Formats: sequence, structure tokens, C-alpha cells
Amino acid sequence: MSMQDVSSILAGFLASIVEFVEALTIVLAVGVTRGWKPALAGAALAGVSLVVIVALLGPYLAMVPIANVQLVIGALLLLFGFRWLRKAILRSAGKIPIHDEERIFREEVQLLDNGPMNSTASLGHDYFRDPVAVLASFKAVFLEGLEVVFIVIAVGAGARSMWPSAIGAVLAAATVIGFGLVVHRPLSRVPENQLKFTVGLILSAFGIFWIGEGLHVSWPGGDLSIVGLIAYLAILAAVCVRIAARAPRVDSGGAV
Amino acid sequence: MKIKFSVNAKAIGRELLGLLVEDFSFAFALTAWIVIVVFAVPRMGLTSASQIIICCTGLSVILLENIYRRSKSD
Repeated sequence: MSMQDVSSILAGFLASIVEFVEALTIVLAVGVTRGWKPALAGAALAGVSLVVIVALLGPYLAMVPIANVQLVIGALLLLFGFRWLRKAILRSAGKIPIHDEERIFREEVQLLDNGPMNSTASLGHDYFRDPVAVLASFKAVFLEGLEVVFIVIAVGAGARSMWPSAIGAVLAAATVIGFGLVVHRPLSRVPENQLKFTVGLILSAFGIFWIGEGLHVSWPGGDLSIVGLIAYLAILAAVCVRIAARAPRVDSGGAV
Repeated sequence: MKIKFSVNAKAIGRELLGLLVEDFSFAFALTAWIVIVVFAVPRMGLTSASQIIICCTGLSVILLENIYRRSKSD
């Protein structure tokens, strides 16, 4: 193994680990709030999709307009994230019951249990029962995975060999998955509404970040600016909770 | 498998529709703002920092307005 191979492995590892950590953040967030099975199903589906895409398209991947993919996924994540954040704010301010969504979710699950899926009684039933969670997890892993593929291609093209950078990316994936296995249990003990609050913040921050990336915005600090976005949204959400808690009630009976 | 896919697609549709049904104005305002940020703001020739500030300011105003309005009506 030459020095160039070692530096390619290291470059592939370091560049990929940032993307894998971003994907892990969302998979963990979806897992602790909506369940591990749909979160893992979404991640696995994304992984399989990426393998199929890489196998089919191979060298043509460098021509895919990643900016458009980032814009669409960013917009969807922002819509999902703001919806969750809004609900968590209203719950924290005592404007809607804490367990309201759990009741709705249980009813929906029961509805699906009584539906046509029940007759199949397969393994997929549990994993795909919450398609929104599957979709959120899928989007995150798919987009970040696609970025890793581009990193591997870029680093590999520079070194004239894909294998070292691909090995670096695989090592990064293994490291991040190992980390995820360690931290997922402690996360499950955090109160549910706080988790949903956090998930709303994370999804919204990633949504804004990816929209910016799609627009070729130069983020101060690169990927680290996601932390700044989360902090900004957390302050905004805290202000919203105070405003909601102090708002005078006017009788109207509108839906939440 | 077809049955599962259709049920899942319906649930995803319900979730997206839920965003509109729960509070149409919130979903509409967010979507409209994203469209403005994606198509109009880049044509203004602003710096990256200005684009980020405009994007975040608009989103903040939409969230603050919605939370205030909902809090008063519930």
C-alpha cells in the first residue's frame, strides 16, 4: 500500500464521516421519536438504493445535479421539521395536550392493523408501518450517502483509484454505525416532547442547510453551520414558547 | 406488496396533506417562502450571508406569527 493510498483512505474517511454523522443524527432522531424499525428500514432502503444507483450508473454519477436533489429534500425536511417544531412549541406552552399526537398515532396504527396489511402479517409490516418515519430516515441517508459517493469519486479521481477512498468511506460508515449503537439507548430515556422538540429543530436546521447548499450558498464554517442553525432555531423556539404561553386567549375553536 | 405500497403512499400523502389541513396558512406560507428563497432571492445578487439572513428571517416571522395566532385561538 503506497503513501498515496493511505492518504486517499484518510481523505475518504474524514470527508465521509462528516456526512455519515449528519445522516446518523436524523436516523437517531427519527428512531427515538417514531420507532427504530421504521428509522432503520428507511436507512436500509436508502443504502440499498445507493448501492443500486452506484452499480447502475457508476462513473455517470458525477453528472447528477446534486443541487436539485438538495433543494427538494431540504424543502421537504424543512416542512416536516417546522410542523414538528410548531406542535412541540404549542405543547410546551400548554396549548395542546402532550399526548394528543400519541393518541392520533395509535389510532392510525390501529386503523392500519385492521386494514389490508394485517392479513399479510409479514416482517415488513412492523418496519413500514410508519411510512413518514421511513421516508424521513430514507431521505437523510440517501442524500448524505449520495454525497459520500461523490466524495469517493472526487477523492478517487484525484488519486486515480476509487478503492482507497471507498475503503475510507466504509470505515467511516462502520465507525458512525458503531457510535449510533452505543448512544441510541441513553437517548431513549429522554422525555418524549423534548425529543420531538429536538427532532423538529434538527430537521428544520438540516432543511435550511440543504436548501442553502442547493443554492450554492457559502455557509460560514461549512457543515458546522448546522450547529449554528440548530442554536438559532432553539432560541427562536424558546421565544415562541414564551409568546404562546403569554398570548391572551380569544374564543374561536380552530383546529391545531 | 402492492397493497402495502398503496397503504404507505396513502399515509405519506395523509402526512403531507395533514400539514395543509392542520393549518393551511402555515404550510402555504412556508412553501411560498421556500419558493421565493429558491427562485427570487438568488437573482437579487446578494451575498451568501444576506441570503441566509433573509431565509431565516422569513421562516422566523412565519413561525412566530402562526404560534401567536394559534395560541390566541385555542
